[in-house]
Amino acid sequence: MTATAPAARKRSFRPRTLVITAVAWLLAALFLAPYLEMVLTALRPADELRDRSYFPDKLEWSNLVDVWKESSLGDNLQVTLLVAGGATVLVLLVSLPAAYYTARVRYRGRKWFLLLVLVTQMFQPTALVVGLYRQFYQLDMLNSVWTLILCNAAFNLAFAVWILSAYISSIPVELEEAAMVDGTSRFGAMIRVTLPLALPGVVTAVIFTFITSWNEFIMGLTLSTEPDKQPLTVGINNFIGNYTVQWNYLFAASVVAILPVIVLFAFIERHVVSGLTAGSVK
Amino acid sequence: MKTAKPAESPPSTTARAAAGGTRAPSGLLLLSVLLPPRFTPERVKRDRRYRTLDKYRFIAGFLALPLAFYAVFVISPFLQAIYYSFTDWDGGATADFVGLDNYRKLWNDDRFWDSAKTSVSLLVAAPVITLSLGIFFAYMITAGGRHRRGQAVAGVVGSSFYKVVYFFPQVLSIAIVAVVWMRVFSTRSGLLNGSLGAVGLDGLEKPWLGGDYNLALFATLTVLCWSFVGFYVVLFSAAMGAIPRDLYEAALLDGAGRATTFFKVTLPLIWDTVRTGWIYMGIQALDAFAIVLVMVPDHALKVTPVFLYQRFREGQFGYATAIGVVLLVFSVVFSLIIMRVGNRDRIEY
Repeated sequence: MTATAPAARKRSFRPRTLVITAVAWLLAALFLAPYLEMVLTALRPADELRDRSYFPDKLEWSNLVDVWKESSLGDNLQVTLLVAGGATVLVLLVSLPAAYYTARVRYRGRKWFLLLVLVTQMFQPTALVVGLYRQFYQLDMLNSVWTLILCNAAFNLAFAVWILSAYISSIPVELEEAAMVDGTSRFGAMIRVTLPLALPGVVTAVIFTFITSWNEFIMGLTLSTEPDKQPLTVGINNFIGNYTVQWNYLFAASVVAILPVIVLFAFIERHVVSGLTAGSVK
Repeated sequence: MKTAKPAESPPSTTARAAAGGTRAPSGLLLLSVLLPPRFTPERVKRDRRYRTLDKYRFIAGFLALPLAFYAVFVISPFLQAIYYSFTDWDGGATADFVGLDNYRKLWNDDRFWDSAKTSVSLLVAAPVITLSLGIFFAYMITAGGRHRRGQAVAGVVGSSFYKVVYFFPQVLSIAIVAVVWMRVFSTRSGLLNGSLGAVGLDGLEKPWLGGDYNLALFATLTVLCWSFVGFYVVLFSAAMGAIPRDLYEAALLDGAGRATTFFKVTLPLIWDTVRTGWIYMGIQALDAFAIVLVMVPDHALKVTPVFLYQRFREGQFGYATAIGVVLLVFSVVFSLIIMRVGNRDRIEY
């Protein structure tokens, strides 16, 4: 420690730090600009849409209200809420026991199970979409909220199991054993000891699943063809016509679609980092 | 030899069962398996057969559901896709087996090869650009700061703020990312051309999404990079944070500068994470479906998933599944290649 201190002091000159900070701020601004553009366009009056000015002369708040009347946005929002909520509940119910088991028991085929989880994570939904379409066509379940709930749950399962099992493995099994010595059943130990300790991991998995299902695009696009049965992400594209784009409505709708995501992300921002680390590094 | 084996095994199992405990009556055993564990009598618990069954009861309850889910919604569509790629299914009631016809058609379809060329360009360029930027930002965030007293490495001030800023596009729907950038790249009123004009670079103003192939490719790469780089910043800074500080201190003592430290200490130690990230990013680039479908005009550029989707919309389901199968095989081959190429001796620390 004492040896590094002089070396460190010699290296610390200001200009370099200033340049780095300036570049970092510039990059941050570049990364943030599109959001500002989205919000400003959402509030831009229709006759100013072709102007080049950064800021509109006046903000047209009524855009945010009109967009509901002009389109099936209300239905789309309802579909998205049901799909994201339903898929999240389903994923939690299914993945928690599997993750617990995978973390606690060295069963035969454990490696295979984790490998299966990883490999299916690599399947692009785009390549599977026709197969999914065929499956739900046969079941006569196209244009149904249930279909989207089930598909979103299936595609998020892998990530949830992965994160949760990493989280549960980090909780010492001795705590459960102690509870079992004191007379609780194995199930009781899982519910009353491990689960509360794994809560941050559970919250991360839940919010991640919710956000991913909320944002899902391609399955909504292919498995629902009726405009009022489509999720929000697909619905907003109806503002893009063949020749003109209703930019102000498009972005007013987009703002509605990303607000919940911003709020939820603010909640788990800290956990996301630790969750990702738990799942992927080492 | 083979016939001798089963003859040997029964005595050995009974021997183990005896060592493990007593044998309980079969009826009692069955009942105990069906009831919750707290009703299981002591003597049944000591039976080895009960323990085996108990283990499988656990597996059935905990793993059967996710596996069933996977089977129905991921594995089964996958198998169906393979099957229907050998048929002429067009959305009607019948699907006749046509052998390799769809694949033959694909091989001779120029539109497919054009789209494949674009997809491969993205597959090569996007991971290199995104991962390099991700590693650079992550290094700046974790080790780019001013050296403080007694610390060999320090992050820049406000590193968590940058992480959030970079990461945020990752939580947005890719469909919304695509519409936002469609506006940014718009020729007449777009943010990009507007800003170029404002700083006097009118010459660089371009009809980005006007129909030119190279400009559209550039735009697609920009958006891919913008939306994924934050994920890698977070991933790599976590990996870099896991490197023990004394390794940096030792490198500093030996007189290594920032660049040397990076290439000789940091990069080799996070290589496993980089390789995983490369595969993931490659798969994202190979897909790029929503970005291209929503943002890029059809006549400018097409990627293979969009080509697939258009065949799907036309009702050529058999043909579309064949494209999907080719796409899947290709992404698996890509992953295997990267795993092989990037395979070095793992460094333990």
